[in-house]
Amino acid sequence: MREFIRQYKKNKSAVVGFFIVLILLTMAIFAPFIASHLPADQNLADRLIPPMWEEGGVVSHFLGTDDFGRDLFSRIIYGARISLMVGAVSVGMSLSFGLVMGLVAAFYGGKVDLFIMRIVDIMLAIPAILLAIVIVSILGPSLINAMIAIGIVGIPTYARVVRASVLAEREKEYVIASRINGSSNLRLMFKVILPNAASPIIVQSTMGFASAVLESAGLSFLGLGAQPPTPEWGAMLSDSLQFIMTAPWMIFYPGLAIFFTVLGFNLMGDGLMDVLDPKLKDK
Amino acid sequence: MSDVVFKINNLKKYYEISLGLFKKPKIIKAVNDISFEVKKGEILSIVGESGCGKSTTAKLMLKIEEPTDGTILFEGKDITKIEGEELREYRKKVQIIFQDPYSSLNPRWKVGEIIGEPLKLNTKMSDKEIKERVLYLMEKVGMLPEWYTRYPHQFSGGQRQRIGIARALALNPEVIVCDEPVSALDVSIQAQVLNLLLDLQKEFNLTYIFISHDLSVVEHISDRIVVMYFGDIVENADVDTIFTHPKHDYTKKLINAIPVIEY
Amino acid sequence: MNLLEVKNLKTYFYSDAGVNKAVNDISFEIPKGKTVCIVGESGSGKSITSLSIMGLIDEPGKIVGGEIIFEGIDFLKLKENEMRKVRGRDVSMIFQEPMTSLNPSYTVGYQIDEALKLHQKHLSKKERFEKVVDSLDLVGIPDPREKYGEYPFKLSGGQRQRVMIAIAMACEPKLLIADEPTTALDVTIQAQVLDLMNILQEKKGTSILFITHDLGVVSKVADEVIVMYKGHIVEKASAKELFTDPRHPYTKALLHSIPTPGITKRKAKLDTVDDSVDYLSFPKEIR
Repeated sequence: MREFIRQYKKNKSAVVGFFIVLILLTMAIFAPFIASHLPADQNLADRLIPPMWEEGGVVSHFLGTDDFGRDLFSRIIYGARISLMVGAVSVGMSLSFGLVMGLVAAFYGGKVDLFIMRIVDIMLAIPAILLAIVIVSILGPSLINAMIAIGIVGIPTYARVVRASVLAEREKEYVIASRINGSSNLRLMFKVILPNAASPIIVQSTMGFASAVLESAGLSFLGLGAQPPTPEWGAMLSDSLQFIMTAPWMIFYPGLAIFFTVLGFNLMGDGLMDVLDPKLKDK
Repeated sequence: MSDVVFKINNLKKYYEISLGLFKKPKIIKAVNDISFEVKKGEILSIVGESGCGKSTTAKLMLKIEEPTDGTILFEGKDITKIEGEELREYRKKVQIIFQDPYSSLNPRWKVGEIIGEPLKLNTKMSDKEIKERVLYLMEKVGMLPEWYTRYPHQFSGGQRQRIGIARALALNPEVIVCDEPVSALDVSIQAQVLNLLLDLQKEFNLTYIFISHDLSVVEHISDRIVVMYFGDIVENADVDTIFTHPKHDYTKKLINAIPVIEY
Repeated sequence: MNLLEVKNLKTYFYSDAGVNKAVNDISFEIPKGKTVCIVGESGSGKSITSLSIMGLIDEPGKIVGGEIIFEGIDFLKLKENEMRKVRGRDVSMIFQEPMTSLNPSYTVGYQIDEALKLHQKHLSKKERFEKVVDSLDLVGIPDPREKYGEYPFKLSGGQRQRVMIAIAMACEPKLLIADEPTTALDVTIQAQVLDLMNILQEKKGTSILFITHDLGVVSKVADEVIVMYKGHIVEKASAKELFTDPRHPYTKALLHSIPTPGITKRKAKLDTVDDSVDYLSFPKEIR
């Protein structure tokens, strides 16, 4: 573990990524303590106030307010919760299904493999956003359904990553040794092979967080994800489009939040990739 | 009169390589109708060069693969079709040591787990009892008890091979198939592992089936030698005869090819 | 008459864990037309030595000291582009894994031709073709004209190794460095390749630096033997002297740990190289 931390620290941008994610987590967990207002609190008297340092800004609204007088800063802070939840749920879903599919396909091979991978191919043939839109349209626009849609759309990628990783390990002698010693197939898949196939999956999951946040922002932007007054950053972007000339801060800061979140997770994923892959290959 | 532990009859393993939808598949005769015996307490070596079928034979005997035809009698019973409880009993008695010390141990498990796995899966021993036995085995193969919690990557090739040997001994087998156990090791480590294998054989009354391509090693430890060439057995005799009066041309060729230190 | 003289060569590897003195002050000579074997186990520094001579040491390794004098020129003082002219023309190298040393995407003939194009620019295409066919013939590949257009995957391990030798010999180098060339080969093929190398040496007068861990192979090809242990040379002698009268304790331990039909007793305990012994504390045996 110590060795892992040491290696990880070598990549400066990866460390930056880690801290960004840490800040995000802090924002999410301690939102009620950090934010100055509640995200849904409207105050129509204080609509469209610019950020504190600009002309017309007030101290009580650090980043200004939106067209309903809601504090932008607080909405962004609480938005972190949503983004993290989106990431966790979507990745969780994609990973659970993708893991099982990839494991079973790689382990059993033959017709099972062919069958599962054809399903994966079909899913991959449809553009992700399109598929997500279709799913949300069927289920109805809401944040939860957006998360489910993103989760479903992500399954084939995880299935492929898991499959490739497991295939590489499957023929190794330690697997044969466990099989000879009487290990059941289930145990072989999860206890013997999976720990050794984990690194690419971990990397994919980390980066998957980033794409989930981005996709959720996209869906919300289209009105298919989070519904008002939920402070989801993408939804905030779309709601604020009409104010781009008059109140640009309403677009800029949520956009910045999305940007940093995606950056943070991607950098972290990159860093993990560097550390995990070559190290565990044959020491 | 030593008992016959293994009796292999007309064993065949053919592989089909598909050449496309419309062509007849190519057939590779990895093991092509071989028969031989293994006596209790002896070291029988199977030698040959790459592609001769010796590793495939080992896999068939361990039931890592199924034969295309033929029978394998273990203590009088045909094991080619057994499964379930019978298979488990068989596996307790016949174990394997692999060639590659780097890929034959699970990189994510600790040494204790690796050696203890056969016990965990095949016996009703408690965790405490398993740990005791593992430590006992570790001592027998020359490993320090504190290595119990270490990971394979922290060890050298020779030490990893010892872990593999301890694992093979866990269930108190009667026969151990050694698949090129020293081929991947440095010369001096090779000597240590060979010495260890010979000591263990005496102490635990083991029968070894030793697969190798290295005739010098084979000459040193074997009682009898089976020479394979492209899936066939070309010669089967005791070690003396093989080296002093080889009959088959291929055997002679193999022996002549060994670079011997002559000054 | 020495073709190559290595003096006080030091090649170190730097990492977070410290400095690894892979080659730690070694000196030896390679006479013209002779075969010198460096024998040792993994970690002895034998491969690093050969890579140092070829100038193929990359980060995190560095040649930190010494001289490598080839026909009066110190390799370590040459710039990379000058060294590139040397490689392949004066000194060439063959490796252990013929599977990965040959480019699978190009034909055998093309790869030998490449070597000629680099170092013998004055030859015409036709002349080069004939030379390639000659070199395939020289290494004992049957039907060399047909084999010119073959891809490596169609050849056996032994044939691939022969092709490697053909590539290495194409420009008739003065020194051939062979790093465990037969370790991955079957014993009968190994015998053929070793014979081939001896024949080539006789025909072309090439000096050979042969790296191996197999003492049997050493006895088949070596004129001189260098025994390396943990970056140092512990014994140097002619092949005959080494095998009939080994002096250094490490050499002795190595010789006695190899099962040798007719010499070591069957099933007897083999001597082993003792990890606890500091073999470097014994005086070096240089003859």
